[in-house]
Amino acid sequence: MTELKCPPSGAAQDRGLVVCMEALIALSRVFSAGGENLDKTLGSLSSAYGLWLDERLGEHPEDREILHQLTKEQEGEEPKSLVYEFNRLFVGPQSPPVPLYESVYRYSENLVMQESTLDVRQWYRSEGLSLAGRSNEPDDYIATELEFAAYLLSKAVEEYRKDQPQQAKIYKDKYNTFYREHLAVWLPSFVETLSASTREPLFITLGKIILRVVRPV
Amino acid sequence: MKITRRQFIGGTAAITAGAGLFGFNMLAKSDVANAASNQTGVKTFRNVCPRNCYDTCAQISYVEEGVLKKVEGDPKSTYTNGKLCLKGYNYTRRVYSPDRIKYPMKQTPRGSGNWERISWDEAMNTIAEKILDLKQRYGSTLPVCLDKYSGNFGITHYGIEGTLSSIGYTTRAVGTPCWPAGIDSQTYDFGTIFNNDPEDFANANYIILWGSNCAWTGVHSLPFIMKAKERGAKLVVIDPILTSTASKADLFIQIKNSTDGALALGMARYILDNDLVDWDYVNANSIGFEEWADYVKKNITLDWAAEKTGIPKDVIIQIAHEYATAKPASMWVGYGMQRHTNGGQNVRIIDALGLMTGNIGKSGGGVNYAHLETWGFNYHAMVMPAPEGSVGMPGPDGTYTNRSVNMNNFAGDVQALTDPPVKMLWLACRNPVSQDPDTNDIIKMFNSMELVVTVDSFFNKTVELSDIVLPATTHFEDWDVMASYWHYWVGINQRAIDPMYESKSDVEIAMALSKAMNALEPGSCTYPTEGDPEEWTAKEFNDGVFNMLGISDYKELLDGPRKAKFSPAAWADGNFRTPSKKFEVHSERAAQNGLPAIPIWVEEMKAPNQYPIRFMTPHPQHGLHSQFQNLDWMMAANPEPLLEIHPKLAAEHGIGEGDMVRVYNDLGEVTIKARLTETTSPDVIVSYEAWYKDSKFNVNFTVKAIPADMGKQATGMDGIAFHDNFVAIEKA
Repeated sequence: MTELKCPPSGAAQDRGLVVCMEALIALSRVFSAGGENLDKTLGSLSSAYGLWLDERLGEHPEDREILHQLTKEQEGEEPKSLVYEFNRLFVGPQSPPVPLYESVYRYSENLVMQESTLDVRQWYRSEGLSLAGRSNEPDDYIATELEFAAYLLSKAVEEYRKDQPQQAKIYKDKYNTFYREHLAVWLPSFVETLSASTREPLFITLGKIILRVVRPV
Repeated sequence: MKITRRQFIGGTAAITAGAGLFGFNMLAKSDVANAASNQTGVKTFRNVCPRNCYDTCAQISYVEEGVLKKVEGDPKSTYTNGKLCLKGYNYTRRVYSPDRIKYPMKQTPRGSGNWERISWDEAMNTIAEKILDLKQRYGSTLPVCLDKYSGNFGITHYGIEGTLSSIGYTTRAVGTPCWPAGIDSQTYDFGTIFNNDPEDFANANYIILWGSNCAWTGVHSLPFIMKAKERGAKLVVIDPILTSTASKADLFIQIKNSTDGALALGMARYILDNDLVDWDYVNANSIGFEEWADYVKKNITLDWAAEKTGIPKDVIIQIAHEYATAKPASMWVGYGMQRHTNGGQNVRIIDALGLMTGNIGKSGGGVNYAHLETWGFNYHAMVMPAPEGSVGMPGPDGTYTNRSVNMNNFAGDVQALTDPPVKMLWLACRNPVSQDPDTNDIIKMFNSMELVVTVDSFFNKTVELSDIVLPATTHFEDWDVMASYWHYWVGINQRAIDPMYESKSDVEIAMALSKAMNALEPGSCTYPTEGDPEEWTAKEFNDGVFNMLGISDYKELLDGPRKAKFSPAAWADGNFRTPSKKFEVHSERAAQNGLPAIPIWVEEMKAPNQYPIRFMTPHPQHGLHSQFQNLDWMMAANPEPLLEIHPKLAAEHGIGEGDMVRVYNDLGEVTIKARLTETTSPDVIVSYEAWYKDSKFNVNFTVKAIPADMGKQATGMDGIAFHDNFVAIEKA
């Protein structure tokens, strides 16, 4: 954990977790709100990623360059070209080259609703959570997994703020296990497929951000 | 919206400051006890494959934790006997393909590939506003046109017709592209279509599969045919192509296309000359036979039949003798053979063969084409009144009706309408851009629309040219009831899993549209806005169906599909449904429709000089029309379309195995990879109709909307002579 430049009101040790959590939430929203809301969700992602960079100043010069790219690549686009590209890549109705579900990448079967779907469902259940059911997405939908990861971090932060570092560590460990068993298993393939499929540099940048901010804590 | 870092982190701190304040979006706190109760092992559900197929397979779906794990055949149906087909075993891959259409989407402009996700509310409002706008501008809803057919033959899917009826009088694609000429031929002869129970093939001593490739397209009938064969029955397959089914035959007869009637007439001549007619049956059950026998004796010779059909005279004699004497002898008349300008007439001649040999009304016999005897449901989802004050086409006594256009000349007929023109298309269970003749004209017609709405599960060629696509549920996500047009079983279809993503059934879509219409203009749509999917299905049943199946409640079907309590032999009672109540060899109804009254020979369509090659586009093994072939296993097993071409014809054009071949005529063209094979004849090339994922392949660019000879009596419109498709070829 890097030292904080401007500690907020909370305890110092939770600052990094909050920043990670916000980045995960921002990423989750990029996908759940869809291509039609990219102007808003990418703004939030820029902010969250900026804070994330602030936490790790000097680590990699390229990390900061990505933030500039993200901003630059939204400018000068035809108003809806990113929307159309988002849907072509992820949503459809054409066969999406980059589906947003873990099980598609995880097995050679190229199907949704496979073992990983049920396994993440168990993860959610272990925290007393289930799908909110606005749209009947498979449980291992990227936005849901990222939100769940963020939730685990929020629990860790909460425990730190209650001065329960051991409880907080349990949640951090849980996050790291969920990361290792799920996010880390498929997001690299997802990003690779995304980079190979997209016609817009923005989505290559989005892939780079995913690989940077979705990581162990 | 620009958020400063300070505001942003401030917000975060607030969110995470207290327990339970995490800003959930995808997840929600749930009752853990309830969630745990979902884990009760594997549940099974009854389903029925709703595709446009002979077999309408009874299925059992295995569901664990709400996930469809496996689909099997239901052993309680003795027809499907616990087995599915190549396509049926792919169903989990259809339901869980990442390619499924997941949400309502709109495309601007049509065909651009620029798609935006929209809510169901927005989709329904856009559609409702357009309908009301058209009604305002034209004084009726006739500018709204429905084209629905066979994508899902579940009874509640007739709610699609109901959707359109509930908004007023509309323009309707009427007819059926698949089988109408054959339906009419049997309507003229028998009064309606009614085949023997296909399980009854087992009782035949002789079986002629006439233009049926059931090894690909009706695989569950084959065990009954093989059972007969094991008992010593001879199996004859008559087909222009040496099919998989033909490979199982004792005798394969490669007939010249569209000359089936000539073969049957040659057989009839032999049967008459050799006194093999079952006069008792003929005299008791038919009218007009003598007139026809006289025609046959005066006009038909075996030499002529041999010349016409390309079948040696001794072979015609052999099968005529065997067919007339084997008793009982069964025939299965496939749908391909009636897709000709003389197709219906050819079926009438074959029907007469069944009559003259006394093979009608017998177990182990029949001239088997299809039936609709088990379809007597209420069509509750379909029958909806027009809103009060609706205006349509003038009907009798000051009433109004819908406006019909010919489904089999859809592009041409729609574009010809001017008063009022068609301005909006609603497409469901239908993919005309793949399946209709003259694809270029279909595309032109789409371009003249103000709004095209398509309900589908996959991004096919019709969706590609739509403004709005609505995601359809699969049959595992619906309640429904299904009957077959071949076997005698009826089965219930349970909702085995929750509808994925934002998919809805056609009835649910109708209810949603009704809400939107009535919110914008109260009274503008009569479709109910509420209703439970199981209740909708329950309302399709009536006492007639219950009696036929020997049940008193639809819930009894949850224990397994039921077989109609019919005799295994259609027409066993001799009560034909013609005006004369007899088998009508002489049909006045045919004559009234401008057709020959008796089953005489009608010349086949000849290839024009500049397009000398017949291009056949029969049904494929790995798909059903434009369904299934796009799925991953099918793409792996059958990755690309092929053009079957005889080595002799290929050599004439310098075409080698694997070369690309341009197939063209004055209407259009398609380029396909050559597969050299002697399974087809040197003047016929073959490519199987299908929609391959990410492929422009379509067999219908060269197919003209030439009508078959029959269809209008029973189905409203004549069929399409799909197989009278003549082309030229060159190495691409």
